[in-house]
Amino acid sequence: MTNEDLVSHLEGLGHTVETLDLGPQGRWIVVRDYPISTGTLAGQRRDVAIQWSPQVPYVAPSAVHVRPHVVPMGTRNAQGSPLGPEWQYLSRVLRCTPTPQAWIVHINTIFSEL
Amino acid sequence: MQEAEPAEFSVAMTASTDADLRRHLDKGLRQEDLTFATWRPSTGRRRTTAVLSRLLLPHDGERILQGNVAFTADYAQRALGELQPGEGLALVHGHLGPGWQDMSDDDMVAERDRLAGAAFGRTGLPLVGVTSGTDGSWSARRWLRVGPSRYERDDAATVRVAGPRLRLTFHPELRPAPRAGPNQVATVSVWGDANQADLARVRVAIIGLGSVGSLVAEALARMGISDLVLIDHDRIEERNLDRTAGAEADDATFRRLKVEVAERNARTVATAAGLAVLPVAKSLLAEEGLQAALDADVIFSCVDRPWPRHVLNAMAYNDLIPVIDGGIYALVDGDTFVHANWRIHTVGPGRSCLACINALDRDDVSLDIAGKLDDPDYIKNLPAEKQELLSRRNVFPFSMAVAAHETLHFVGCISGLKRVAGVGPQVYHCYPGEMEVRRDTVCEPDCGYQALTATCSDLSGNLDPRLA
Repeated sequence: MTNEDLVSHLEGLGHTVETLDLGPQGRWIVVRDYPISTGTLAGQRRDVAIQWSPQVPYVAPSAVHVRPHVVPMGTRNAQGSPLGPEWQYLSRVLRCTPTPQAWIVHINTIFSEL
Repeated sequence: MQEAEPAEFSVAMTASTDADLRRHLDKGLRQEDLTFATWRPSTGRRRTTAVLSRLLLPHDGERILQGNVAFTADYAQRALGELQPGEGLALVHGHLGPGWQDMSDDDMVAERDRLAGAAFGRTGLPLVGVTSGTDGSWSARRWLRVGPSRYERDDAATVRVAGPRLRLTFHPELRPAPRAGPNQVATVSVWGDANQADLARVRVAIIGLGSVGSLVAEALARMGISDLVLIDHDRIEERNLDRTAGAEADDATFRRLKVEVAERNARTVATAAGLAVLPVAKSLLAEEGLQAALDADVIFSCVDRPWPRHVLNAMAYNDLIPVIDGGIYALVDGDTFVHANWRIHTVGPGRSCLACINALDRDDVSLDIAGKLDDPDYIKNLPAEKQELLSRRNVFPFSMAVAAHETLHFVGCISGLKRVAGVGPQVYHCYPGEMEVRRDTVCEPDCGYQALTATCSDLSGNLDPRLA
């Protein structure tokens, strides 16, 4: 897969997707108001950011970033994000062949486990 | 004038492209044939390789067959029109004799006078001419623009066909066969003069000059390999002395570069009449390290970090450079040694990749890129088995075993001698003491590494931006 495949897939599912170029902080794919369907936050929405991977072939970044925070900082591998203080870095590795579909399952799984 | 090109030129193709070309070109002993093809540049520090990517086979009426062969202007126009951005034009034709082929007057007219200007004007890349011999050999050249409407022939030093075996044809003057010396009698007595002449001329890059890499460097120098590229940014420390070939106490005291120590050792033990060593004190994840590796015909991956191994796995397919890799896993419980195994495998076109044989974990690659494998807090929260894998325990005898088998893989890769190298990825289990051969491994259908085959994609995004 490519970063463009992921953006296209997310848009195809009806999400609002932006790509942000933050210079030294890298390039990002940001999904606005991602709906959380399961877990303790079911029914809420969060912005979700995935770093644009420059790797060839594509290597999934080891974390997703969410805004606003979903857990207290320092718990459940949540750390500060280079995107800013309102964002939270959730260290979760995509443990399968990266595909856009796998990313959706991964994001939903992360939220379901909160 | 075109931009300055690296001085050395080579052509590479996959074994499947080689087979397709030979099927098309072989019209018996009285008829030559030709085809256009596309190529993409794989550019290293000293060498540009034209990697053949697509065949643009002729349609009926697009060439004239009269014993020899000529293309029509319409065929040339069609081929030029089918080139995609980043692709150059190649003319591939067959000759009716064996070995490296020279050019006839007709060949010169076809390439230099009819095509070179049109190809350069259309693509900004030189025309590449490739000629097959009847014995499976190839010869090649590029046509460099030296002035308005003036093109000069620049012969390739090698043509490489990358499949389960890496088959090289060497230019007889640019890469002449060395004469095996009396110090190589035993070596030659095992695999013969012809194989030794091929092995001795292969340019080998060793990435990582630690325990395994330092031994591989010594083994290759003793075997008479004459062209080594040594890549490692690290320096010798006291803790390296129990498992680095050629390293001495002074090297640790003065923190000498590992490439410097490996070069010294290789020169001391070399049996080749002339040994060329290029030490590159850079990481593979830096531009200079990657560029130096792209000059190699074969690469030994002697690094254990997932990120550089991911890059090497990509290069093996992307740039058609076979990569010989290994890994050691030793399990210790407290003060008690429990078990060890090690793996040896070669990856590249016609073979399954590191990820698909489970020798490279994509999760570890992303963690390495994120810096988590250097974060003790992160590592201590990993499962015990994973922590053990990341501890990279090793002792000299384990390294000797891996280095020996990797060197045998190299001999098999170049010579095709399966009875030297075996038939697939190998895993040695210290207990009970047996070698497992995984002969039927294949890549996943959606393998991203295989998809790179012969694409010469830009891998600079894979580098560590902190080393820029």
